[in-house]
Amino acid sequence: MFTEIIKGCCQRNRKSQKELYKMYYSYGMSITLRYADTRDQAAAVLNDAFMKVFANIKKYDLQRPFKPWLRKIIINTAINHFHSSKKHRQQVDLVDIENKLKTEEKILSGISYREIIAMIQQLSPAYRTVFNLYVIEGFKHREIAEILGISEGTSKSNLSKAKQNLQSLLEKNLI
Amino acid sequence: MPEQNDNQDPIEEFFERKLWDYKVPFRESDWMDLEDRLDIRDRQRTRNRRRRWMAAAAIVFLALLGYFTYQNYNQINEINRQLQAEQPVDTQEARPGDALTEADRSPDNASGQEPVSERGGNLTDAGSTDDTQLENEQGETSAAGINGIPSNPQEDDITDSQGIAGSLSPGGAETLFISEIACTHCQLADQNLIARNNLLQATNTGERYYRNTPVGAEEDHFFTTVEQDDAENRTASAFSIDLLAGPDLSTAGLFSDFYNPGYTLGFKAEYEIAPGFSLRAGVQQSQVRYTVGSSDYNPPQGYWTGGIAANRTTAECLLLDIPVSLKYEVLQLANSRLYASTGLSSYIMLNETYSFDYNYQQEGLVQEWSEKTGTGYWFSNAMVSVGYELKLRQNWSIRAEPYLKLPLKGVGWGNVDLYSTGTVVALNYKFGS
Repeated sequence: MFTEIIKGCCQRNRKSQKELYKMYYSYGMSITLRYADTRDQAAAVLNDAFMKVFANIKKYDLQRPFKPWLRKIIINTAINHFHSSKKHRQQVDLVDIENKLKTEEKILSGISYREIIAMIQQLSPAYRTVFNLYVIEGFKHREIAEILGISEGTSKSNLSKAKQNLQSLLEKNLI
Repeated sequence: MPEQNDNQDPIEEFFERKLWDYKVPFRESDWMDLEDRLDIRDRQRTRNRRRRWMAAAAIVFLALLGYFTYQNYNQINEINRQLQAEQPVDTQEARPGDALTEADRSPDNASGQEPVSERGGNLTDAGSTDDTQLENEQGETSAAGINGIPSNPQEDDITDSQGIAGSLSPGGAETLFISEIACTHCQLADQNLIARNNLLQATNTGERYYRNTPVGAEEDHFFTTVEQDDAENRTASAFSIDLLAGPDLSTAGLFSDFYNPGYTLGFKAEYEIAPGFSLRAGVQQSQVRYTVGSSDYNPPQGYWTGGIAANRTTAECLLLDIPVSLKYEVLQLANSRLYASTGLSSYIMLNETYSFDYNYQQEGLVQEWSEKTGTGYWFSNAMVSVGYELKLRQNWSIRAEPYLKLPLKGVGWGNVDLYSTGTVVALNYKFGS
C-alpha cells in the first residue's frame, strides 16, 4: 500500500500525493507548529516541506523508514524559514508575553497540547527554534550552532532563556 | 541522526512528553493550497520540456540546413570542375584576333603534301605572296621541317625547336609553347601575342601573354582570370551593416496579455559565409513592457512581505539584446530578395522596474522594485524571422523583418519567460560593391 503510494508520487499522480500528505499531515504539523508563530504559518512551512518531498521523492529509498526522511526535510524547511524571516522578526520580551496572557482565558486543570503549542509560539523565534532543536529533536548545542549559524554559547543562552520563559508561562497557567 | 540528550530537566521532559502525544486534525484547505502549487510546478515543468524540444529542433534544423547547403555547395563546385575539365584544348581552332592571314595558311599546308617552300609569299610580311624558301635551323625547307608548324594540321606528329616529337591534337599530352613555334620569318608567335593582348586590353584584365605562355593554356588562363575577377568582386561585397529600429511587443505569459509596446534599435553586422548564407551579429537596445500574473513571476525566495505575492506585476525593463543568427536567402528577384533567419539572443538587463498589484491591499506590502541590475542572460531566447529587402541604390537597401523571440530560460529579477514579437526596419549598407 505505502509502496504503491510512493510509486504514484514518483509519477506525479495527484491522488497518490494527496494520500501521502494526509498520511503524514498530523506528524508534520506537530513539528511545524513548534517552529511557527501561527497555525497558518505552520501549514505554509509544512506545504513547503512537502513540495521538496514530492520534488525529491525519487531519491527516497523504499528500504528505509519514511518518517525520519520526512522529519529531516521538515526541520530543514522550518530552519530555512527561520533564516529568511530574521529581518521581520521582533524580539518578544517576557513582559509582552505576560501582558498577552492576562487577556487569555486560563485553564486551571491540565495543560492541553494546544496550550503547550501556544506557549511555545509565544517565545521569540530564536528561543523557540533552539528549544525545539535541543529538547524535542535532540540536537547538541554544537550541532544547533552549526545549523543556525550562531555560537555554541548563544545556543545555550537561548535555551536557558526559553526555559525561563516557558516556566514563567507555566506558572501563570497553573495559578 | 541527533542523539537524545540525557539528564533533561523537568521543563524539557514535560514539553517533550506533551508534544509527542497529540494528533493534529487534517485541514482540506491546506491540501488545496499545496495542490495549487503542485499544479503551477507541473505547468512550469511542461513549459521547460517544451522549450528544450524547441531548442533541440532548432539545432537539428540548423545542422541539417548547414549540411545540405554544404553538400549543395560541394556539388556545384564539382560540376564546375567537371565542366572546366571537359572543355577541349584545341590550339588549331581559329581564335579571335588571330592575325594569321591567308598568306600564312597555305592550302598546300592543309593538304600536307607539298613543301612550304612551294608557296608563294613572304611570311614575314602579312599578306605578301612572295615565294620564300623557309629554312629551319637544320636547313630543311619542307613544311614538315619547320619547327612546330605541321605541314598537315591533321598530322599528329610535329617537332619542336628541340626536335622532340609532340602532338597538338585534342587530348594530346604534350604542351606546346608559343615560343616553340619557331618561325623566324612569319613571326606567328608575335602576331598571336599581339592579337591576344589586344583582346585582354579590351577586357581590361591587366593580364598579358608572353612567348612562354602555353598555347593550350591560353583559354584556361583567360577564363581563370575572369573567374578571379568575379571571386574578388564577390568577396568585396560579402560584408554589410544594418541600422535598425522598430516596435517591440513582449509578454511573459500568454500572447493575449500584451501590454504597451516598447521599442528596439541598434545595429547588426552581416558577413556572407557561403552563397545565400550569411552570419549576423549585433547589439540592440530594447525597452520591453509586459504584465505578468503571480504564477509566472518568480522573485527571489522570501521576497514577498508575509508571503503575500502580488496578483499582477507590471514590468518596464531596458536591456541590451545581443543576437547571433544565420540568414538564408530564400528568393532573389531583380531588385529585391526574401530571406529567413534564425538564431539566439542574449540579454543584459540594464534597468528593471516592477510595480505590484495585490488582490487585497494591506499595510506593509511592497509596491515597487527598481534597480540597475546589469545581469546577463546568455542565449536566453531563440529567434526566428523572415525579411524582405529592397535595393535602393548601388550599396544601399532597406529591409523589413518581422521576428518572434521565444524563451529558453527565465530572465530578469522576476525570472520570467519572456516572449517578444515585432518588426524591425533596417537600412543596409553593403561594403565594396
